Amino acid sequence: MSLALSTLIYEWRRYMAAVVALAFSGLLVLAFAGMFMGMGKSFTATIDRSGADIMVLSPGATRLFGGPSGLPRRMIPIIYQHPDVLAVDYIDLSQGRFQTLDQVRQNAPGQEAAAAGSQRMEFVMVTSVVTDAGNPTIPVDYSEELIEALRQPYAVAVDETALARLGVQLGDQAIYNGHTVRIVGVTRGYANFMQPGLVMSRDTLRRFGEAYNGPRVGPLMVRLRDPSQAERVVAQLNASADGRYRAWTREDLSRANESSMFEEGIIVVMLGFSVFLGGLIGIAITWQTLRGAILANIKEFASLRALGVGMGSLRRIIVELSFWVGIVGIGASFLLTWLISLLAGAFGLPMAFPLPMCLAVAALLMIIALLCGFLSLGMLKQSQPADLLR
Amino acid sequence: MTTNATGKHGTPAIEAKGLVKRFKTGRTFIEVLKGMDFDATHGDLTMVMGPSGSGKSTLIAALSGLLKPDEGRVDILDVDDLWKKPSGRIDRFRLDHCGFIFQGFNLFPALTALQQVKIVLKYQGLSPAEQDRRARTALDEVGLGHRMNQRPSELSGGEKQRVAIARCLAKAPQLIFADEPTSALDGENGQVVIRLLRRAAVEHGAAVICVTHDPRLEAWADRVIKMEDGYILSDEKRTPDPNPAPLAH
Repeated sequence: MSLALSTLIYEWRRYMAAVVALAFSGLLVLAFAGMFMGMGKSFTATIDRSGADIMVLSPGATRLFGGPSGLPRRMIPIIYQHPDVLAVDYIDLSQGRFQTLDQVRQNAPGQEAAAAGSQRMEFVMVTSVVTDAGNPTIPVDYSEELIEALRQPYAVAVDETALARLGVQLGDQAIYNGHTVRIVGVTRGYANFMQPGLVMSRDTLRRFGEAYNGPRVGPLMVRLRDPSQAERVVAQLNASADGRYRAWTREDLSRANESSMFEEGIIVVMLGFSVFLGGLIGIAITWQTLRGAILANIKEFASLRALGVGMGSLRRIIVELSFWVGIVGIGASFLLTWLISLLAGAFGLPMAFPLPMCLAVAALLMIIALLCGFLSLGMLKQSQPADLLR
Repeated sequence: MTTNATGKHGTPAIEAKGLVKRFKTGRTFIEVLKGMDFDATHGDLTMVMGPSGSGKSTLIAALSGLLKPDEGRVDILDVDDLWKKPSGRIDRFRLDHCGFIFQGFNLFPALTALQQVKIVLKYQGLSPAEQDRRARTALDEVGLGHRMNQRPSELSGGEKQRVAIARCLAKAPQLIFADEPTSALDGENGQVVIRLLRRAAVEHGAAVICVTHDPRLEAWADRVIKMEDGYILSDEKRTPDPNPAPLAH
């Protein structure tokens, strides 16, 4: 075992601050990124667990929502023409105001005082599903009971993470855009941080007059006779697309959706800031800790120099030491992040940690550690062997 | 810098002429070495004695390539004018030929006795097997064969100094510089240390230069140089006492 590694293990208390600083720098970045990725996952949850084998978007779109992803309605029969296609439907979204009944009653005349603290109203995003059996708009994890419940007029489902925010429970009545709706189902794993979501049947949406009947529809959801043929069908559809649309397999679209998260300005700014802040704190603490630790062993280093070990060799010891601090810091950072994600999971907050992101954070921490090692090299100048003679 | 000098008893190891070293304190310079001449031979235990501030430590720093004198030259082994060489060469010279024993033991807290000795041998470029063999031999020689796997925190002061001596002896240096090697030790351990230094001179033919202000060590010396205020007061060759009085505090 090398001198650097033995020193790190034996004097771990001395290096603890550096390791903890690195771990928290990594945690800061990973937790932020993981949260954003988790948010992305909750958007892509609709893709990943969709009943569709193929999705058809306008060319150039990489996201199911939040972009110009729809198509002219006349594309539906064009997709149907492919012999392997079983069913085609489109995504129809809506949004509106959501209020609990209590809030409404309190807002009635004579109840102003009681309502003072509860003048709250949420804007919700509505996803509609066509409740016919086997329709590609129905996510695969919806139970028969849920679909059956959604078939009732004015029935809606809410994700468990949105219940508290909306102030409702299963079985409650509430107001959506002025219509009374009933919460008949609770979904799991469809958290949306931007806006709480409602799920209702296309028929209910139509009753509210919100179903879209225009010439342009949302992305197309396509179910195949044989889902295993998805890649081939996508290739064939795209070959004859002629720039009118682009077909995706579920997996490809999910991946594209995930990476398109990082094209979102605010996310890049926040992530960039967390990298900057994490890096700054990591460098400051790790550097000072390394300096202190080297200073504590400065006489030993000086005695090595007296015995003829060159400055270059001592520098290598320091750089190796900072490398090991980096390795331990990366490990600690991943451990902390894992614990945080467990905690977040317990509260229904999805976090996602794709491998490239973890590798990038590990590289960042290693760069910080090595940089601190290089910054601390100046301390070795104080290892003057002549000072040992007195 | 390779040298072919062999430590033959009685051959000159160091010859220094006109060493001057000044230190700046405030606006004035203090001259610590005032044109000193010095020489030492292989196989001798040369004791440099004198009160504190007499320049003993500065002298051995200048002789051993640790502190550049302002004037004068040091011819050491077969190297002419050591201080004319680039610092990397001086480092290499120390690595190949010099051993140091300090008043403090300066051992890495994380390393076992065996590892402390091996680390220097590693930088000398020895094979791992050879490092291990020489380190074990050196530790056996200083009587720590049974304590090889202890860390400094588990060793007594005397044992730590013996590890430092083993670290120095394992290199088989032709020159050993010791600075107050016994002053942090009790009489019994001091005696063990001075005996080891004596043995390095007699059995290995090293030129041992030991700085001390402990008069009881005189009995072990082949030559005693007394210094004061940067000058040599006396330089006396003597026959070491075959049965020196034990060092006791």
